[in-house]
Amino acid sequence: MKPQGLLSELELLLLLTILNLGDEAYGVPIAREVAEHRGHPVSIAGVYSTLDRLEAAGLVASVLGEATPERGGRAKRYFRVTRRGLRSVHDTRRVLTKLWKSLPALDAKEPA
Amino acid sequence: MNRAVSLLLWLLDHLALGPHAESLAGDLEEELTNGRSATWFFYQALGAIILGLWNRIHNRLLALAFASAWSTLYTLWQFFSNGRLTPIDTTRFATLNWPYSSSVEIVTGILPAVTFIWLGLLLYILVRSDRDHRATPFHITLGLSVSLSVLLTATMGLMHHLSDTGLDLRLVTHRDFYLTLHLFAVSIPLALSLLTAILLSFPHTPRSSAYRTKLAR
Repeated sequence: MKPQGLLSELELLLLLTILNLGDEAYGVPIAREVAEHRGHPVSIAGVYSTLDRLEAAGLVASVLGEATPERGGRAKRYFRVTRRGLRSVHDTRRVLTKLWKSLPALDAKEPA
Repeated sequence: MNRAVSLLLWLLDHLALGPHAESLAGDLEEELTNGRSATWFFYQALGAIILGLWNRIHNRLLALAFASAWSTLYTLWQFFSNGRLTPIDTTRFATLNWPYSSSVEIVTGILPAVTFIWLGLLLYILVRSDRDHRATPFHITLGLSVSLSVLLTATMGLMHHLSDTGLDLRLVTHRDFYLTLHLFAVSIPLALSLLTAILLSFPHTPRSSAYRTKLAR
């Protein structure tokens, strides 16, 4: 099948995070996991902006969940990766794996 | 909860910043309740508002830039379309009674401008139509008809303005009205008309409230 185009770093991270979180994939845990993997805080608006783009491209789908008092009565939006999104992740992994094969090993004696 | 936090949450809820604005506001409030600092909240909320506003206006800015740039090409269009779009010899109609004589002159004078605007709209639709931006036949028809009214109104306003500056409009023929020395000024009706056509031809992008409602189902 023809690849859909490579995913950016954040797009790939978001898709993998959503897959990892499963049924608990909504804004707060997604942003926390992405920040943990990246090693620095992320903007929740930036996360939603990318999710919005991924949703428009059909790579993720979302549904409104329950509203809780700690959220001021606002509903959570749960995300899931679509079949198309999963195919994009696989396509990206295939290309990256091919490129990583030619990655030279770091020589410990070599100066940085 | 202090006033600033309430105000920022209210803005996030009411500025219609995107299909996920409500969930975003909920996430920020949840994080604040769970112990995040107020400073963190302010940065996140302000960032969300700025990003959301940018997403809302950047399509309109693009349309404005295109309409302005396209209208500057009108001179070139006049050069190539000269005599081809209005091959009628208008002097033949000068002998007709009013209002027929004036009507023919107005139609032949405005036709190149209208064709130029419609061509600009067609080009914009071809370049910008994608999954997120779709021009429907209904909206295109609406855009074209309203843009014609805008062109006529803006042209009349411009003529009034030029009369005030002392320009004798009787010396400006129907053919070179848009080619007078006031090139910048005469491009305004063209740009306004094209901008109107573009904005009306593309119903609001998926970030509209209708799309949000659809997503919520």
